Amino acid sequence: MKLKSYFGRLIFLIVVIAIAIWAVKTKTPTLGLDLKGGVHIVLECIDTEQVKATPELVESTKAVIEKRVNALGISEAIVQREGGLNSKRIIIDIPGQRNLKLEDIEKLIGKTALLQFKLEDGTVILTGANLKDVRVQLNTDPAKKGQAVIAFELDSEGTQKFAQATKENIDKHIAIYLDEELLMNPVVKSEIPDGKGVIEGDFTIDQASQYVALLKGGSLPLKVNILSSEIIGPSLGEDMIAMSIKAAILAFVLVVLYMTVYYRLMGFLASVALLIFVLIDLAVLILLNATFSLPAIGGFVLTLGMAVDANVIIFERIKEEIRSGKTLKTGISLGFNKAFRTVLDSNITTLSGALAIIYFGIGLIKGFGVTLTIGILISFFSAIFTTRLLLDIFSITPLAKNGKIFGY
Amino acid sequence: MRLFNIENLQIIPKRKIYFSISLIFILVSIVAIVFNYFTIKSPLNYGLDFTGGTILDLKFEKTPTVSDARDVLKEFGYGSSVIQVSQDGRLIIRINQKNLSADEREKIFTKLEEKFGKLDRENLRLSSIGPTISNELKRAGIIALLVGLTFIFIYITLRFQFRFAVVTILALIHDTIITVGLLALIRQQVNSPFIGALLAIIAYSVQDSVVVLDRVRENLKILKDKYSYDEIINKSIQQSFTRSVNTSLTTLLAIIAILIFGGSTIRDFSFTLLFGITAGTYSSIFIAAPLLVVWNNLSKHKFEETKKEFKGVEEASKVQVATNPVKISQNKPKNKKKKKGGKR
Repeated sequence: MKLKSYFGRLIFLIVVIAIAIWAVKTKTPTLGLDLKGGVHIVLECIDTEQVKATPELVESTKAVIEKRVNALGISEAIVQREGGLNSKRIIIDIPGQRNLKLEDIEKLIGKTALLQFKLEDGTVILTGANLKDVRVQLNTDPAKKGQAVIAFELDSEGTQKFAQATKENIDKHIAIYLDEELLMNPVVKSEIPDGKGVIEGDFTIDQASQYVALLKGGSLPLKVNILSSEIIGPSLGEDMIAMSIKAAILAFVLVVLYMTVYYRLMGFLASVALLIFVLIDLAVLILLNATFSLPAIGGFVLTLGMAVDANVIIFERIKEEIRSGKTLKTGISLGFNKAFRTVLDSNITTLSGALAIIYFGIGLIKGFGVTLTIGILISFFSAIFTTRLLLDIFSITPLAKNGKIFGY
Repeated sequence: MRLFNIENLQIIPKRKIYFSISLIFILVSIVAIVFNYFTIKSPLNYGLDFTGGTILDLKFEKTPTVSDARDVLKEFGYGSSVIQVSQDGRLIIRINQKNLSADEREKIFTKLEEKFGKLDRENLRLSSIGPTISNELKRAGIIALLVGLTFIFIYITLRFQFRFAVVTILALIHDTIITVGLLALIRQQVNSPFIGALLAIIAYSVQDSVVVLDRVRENLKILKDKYSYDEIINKSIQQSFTRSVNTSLTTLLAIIAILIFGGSTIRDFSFTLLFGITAGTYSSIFIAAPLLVVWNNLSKHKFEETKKEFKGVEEASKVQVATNPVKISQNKPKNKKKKKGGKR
């Protein structure tokens, strides 16, 4: 008997630890903006009198922004829509990059002008969303040779609308507005049925290029508003990481010291279980791709303190059993069984709080809720499996004969 | 290792002292909140996350002075901003309610650079939050708190008893009021991590209460015929006292580690936790379980009368307890089915 009966569990634990070590060593954790620096911007598409922010238009607005960000050559940038289908929010996350000027990114996104083509009576016929291509061309008309014109091409929906609008408005103006400001006010000379048109004017090539840039850059289908923005310099985050690691190590050392002083050898066993807990917890967080931000690390450190709770409950029970005259082996078994329900109930209630944080928490608090939740789940495993195994193995060693190790 | 003899701990007989201590704290908290309401127009010193606005955290070649920086900001109409210079020479500017545009920011930076030398752009932090987001945060925070509490209430009612759930929630409200009150008193700035901290405190405190109440539940079964309700509760507190203190201490040690090394954002957060967890530990020992006794006393008249009617039966069972306690635990039909099911 003895050690043999624990082999299965021991091997399982060793395999889990091995996987955890592999995960911690090989995978890189996802760091939050506050730790690696970068830009986080939340935009909201807004309804204007002419254009309603429908889900489709929000989607195409997102696509335009994505294109612009990618044009800067930022491969890691993430542009996504927030939340559900009807959400009008767009989130832009750009991780900190030293070779990138933060203002450039902000300007690029900040200049989210709304482009509209309006008839003389004010009705909007096209928005920037319909614009497929804009470029500078030289006038082919022999009378105006060499003059710059702006050539544009529309998408199929735009082509149709524009064809009708030009047909009905010959010799009238179709104005182009950027952010409600008049950019150009060309006169319609003929019907444009194929969606390919040119805007003539007394432009120099430079002026024409500027207009083209504005038309291209301003071709957001919807007006957007910056709801919140956060910019953190990349080197600032590094200090935070260093501090967080220090905090985690200090917390671990303090908890281990306290447990060992108070519960002696049992406390030492709990510390070993805590070390295994830290390893598995980290591995699970990394494997689940959880984002490590400052509050998340706060949650992690907090679970360091709470993870020993189940151990404390179990030890106190075992001590009680032994005090009432039971042998160590029965004491462990009885103490464990009695403590189990308490540990389960207390964990489930704590979990409900942590889940509420995740479900309703916005942004950074969410990370805190996630680490707290995972921490609670792993600490439960740690208590009913690791600590139990360590205690069982410990109970067959000669050390177990010494009553003092229980710390009373 | 024992600091004092736990068997001498008389919490139930002295419960009025502990209730008074809590009442004083709650009163101070309410006064602080009301006072803030009249002086700074909000119960707490809300940070950027809740008011909306812009924070600039900047590092220049030369260490700025607050008055020089204020002169620059006055030119832009932000003279009333909160301006601080941190220990490591960073300039921290908080402009309330106003969402600075990128252009406006650049203009301010250029002006500041004229005075304090080049701005270290790799080492800056800017955040601006519009009023929409800050209002949403407040709302989401309140919903999260209410949902968390409701879930806890339902779970405890199902697993334990209705009255256990009520005293636990009362203890949680106690912890929340005291934590919020102390933050109101010292006018600590609160940002969105504050909601997370409050929820963590609630989660922690409920865990603490559940451990004590779990012991009460168990003892009510085992000791019912030997001791009075008051004595059983007192005994349960004694039995879980060491655990409560030890767990709180290890958790507080972890929080202290964050306080020492955590950096400014997370420091406020751990500060809140430090208050709340202390209150949570106190409430589970000195408030939640003693409230059970108060509840029992209030309903005592009814309880005693029914008890008298069944006195004969009670007496008979007592004899049985003495002779054969195993048997009595088997044929006691009073135990709820749930308990049996949940036990193993």
